[in-house]
Amino acid sequence: MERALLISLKVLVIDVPLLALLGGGLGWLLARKVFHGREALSLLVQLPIILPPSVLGLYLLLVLGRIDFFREAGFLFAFPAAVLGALLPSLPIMVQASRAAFAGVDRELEEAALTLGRGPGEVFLRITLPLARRTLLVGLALSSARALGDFGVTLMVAGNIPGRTQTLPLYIYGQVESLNFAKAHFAALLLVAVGIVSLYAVRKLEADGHENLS
Amino acid sequence: MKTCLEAEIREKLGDFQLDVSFSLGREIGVLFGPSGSGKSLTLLNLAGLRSPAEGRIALAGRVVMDTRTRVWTPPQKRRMALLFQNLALFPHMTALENVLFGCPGGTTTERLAKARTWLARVRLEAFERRYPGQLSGGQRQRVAIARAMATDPEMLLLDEPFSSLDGPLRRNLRRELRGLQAETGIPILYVTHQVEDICALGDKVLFIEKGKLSGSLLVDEILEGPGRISFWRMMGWGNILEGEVKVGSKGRHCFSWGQGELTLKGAPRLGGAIAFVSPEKVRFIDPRLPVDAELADNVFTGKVDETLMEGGTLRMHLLTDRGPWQIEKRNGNVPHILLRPGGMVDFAVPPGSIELIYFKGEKEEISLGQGSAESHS
Repeated sequence: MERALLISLKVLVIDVPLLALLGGGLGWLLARKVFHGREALSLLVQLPIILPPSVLGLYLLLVLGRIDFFREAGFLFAFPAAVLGALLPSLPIMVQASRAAFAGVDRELEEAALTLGRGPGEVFLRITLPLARRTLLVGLALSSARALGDFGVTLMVAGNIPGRTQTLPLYIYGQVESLNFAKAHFAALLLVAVGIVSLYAVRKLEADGHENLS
Repeated sequence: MKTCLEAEIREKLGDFQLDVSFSLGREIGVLFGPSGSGKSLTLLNLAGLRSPAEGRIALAGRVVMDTRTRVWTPPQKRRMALLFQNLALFPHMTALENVLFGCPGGTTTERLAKARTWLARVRLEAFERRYPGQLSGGQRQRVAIARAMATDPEMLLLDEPFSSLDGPLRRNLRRELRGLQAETGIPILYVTHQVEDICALGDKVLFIEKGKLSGSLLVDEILEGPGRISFWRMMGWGNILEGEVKVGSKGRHCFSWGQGELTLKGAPRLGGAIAFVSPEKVRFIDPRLPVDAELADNVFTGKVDETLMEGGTLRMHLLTDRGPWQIEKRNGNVPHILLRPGGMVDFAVPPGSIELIYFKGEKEEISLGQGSAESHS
């Protein structure tokens, strides 16, 4: 189980910053910029939420298998595929949160900050980001939890190779298959604990947010 | 007064067209107009938060925007502080941090000292650690003013920031703003749709309507002198009649215009004139009671065309066989039966309330006539 836990943690170490940057960035783009194909991009980004993981995994497998670069790099059925498999279904959660977070920041505050003599970069860091912070963190917590718990997509593109791509959820599946319920339980409880902690964190973030606004 | 701001802005937004051009000295200008007339849009353009299709803005001799020569100074470099209607205080920063945000470069100690000075200037030094959510409406306004002034602006733009406050608070803030202007000498442009702001705050008033400036007046001219009539005309409020002063059939002086006659008080000079009757001086008459002898000749009957209630004031437009009349009354002075459109109302114009402005030669308004002196009685 330690090996599966380690792989899951390694996936998170890479996926959490990716979720923050990619998901946060896409959300900002969708909330703040008007461009051709914005709605199409929005739909595309949201699609993984409603598609069954197996469908998502299948297409990912087909796409990655066709691109020489990924094939030659041994991307599929290896650790990078596990990272991608966990990232893809959790990205929409972050994008949605980030879009809502940035849309919720009053544009007038940013405009006021500009007239007070601050450049756009400073305005983003000191006004926009702090005001969007709570919703962004909520999104990050929920999407990270989703990434940690991914089963289907990871299984499709990375397989279930102990020590290489077997994350905690896949480990549980393996243990149940070989009727090792005690080990499965232990890993499952760990995930439940992580889930409770992150939900608690989200609740607390949201509650603090309301307090500050009142 | 030496010109400090020169602005020329033309912008098209859907069906709406903004086309204004004005200048302002080191004084308080009031941009007055109804909602949707383009007041706020003008301010946003001045501040650089919108870029107009055409125009030129120069502030203190520095061109900050010119579409012909492609000069564009971004808002953060214009040094025009803008006070938004809802103030736009940063909710995640304390009062001090908000003001500090506006302080330009320097060491942290210098900036902090400056922010504290401005907070003290608006008497909020004791509240520096409070967040905007923990301050009262008036205190928030003062933080916003301090924050704007801390940027060392070359001009201050205000978008009805006091409109949400009640009377006494608003009066205090207006006084503070005037003090601030006198102290710093920077031009201030104040946008409002409230008449009381004009005289209480401004040196100069610019009237804006449907995206165009319809006129401008010095406030001193509104308070006394012939500018008063132009003011009422631009406001679209007040009874203004063009005619002549003559001796009437009963041997009394009266003002005669195309549709009727009004008996005047005393014996003012004869000749062509404009008569102005302030709507609040017109009196309702109860038909069941005998009419005051002085008023008897000036009684009219009108049909209520429109009744507006604003604040504690009732404004009524009446149609009579002698043209339209306007009446304004404070609440409580009005029989409720009169309020309904379509109803018939008797009213009288007290002779002492008729202000006369004589024509000199070609319809030129010169000075207030004799009648006006009596109108203040």
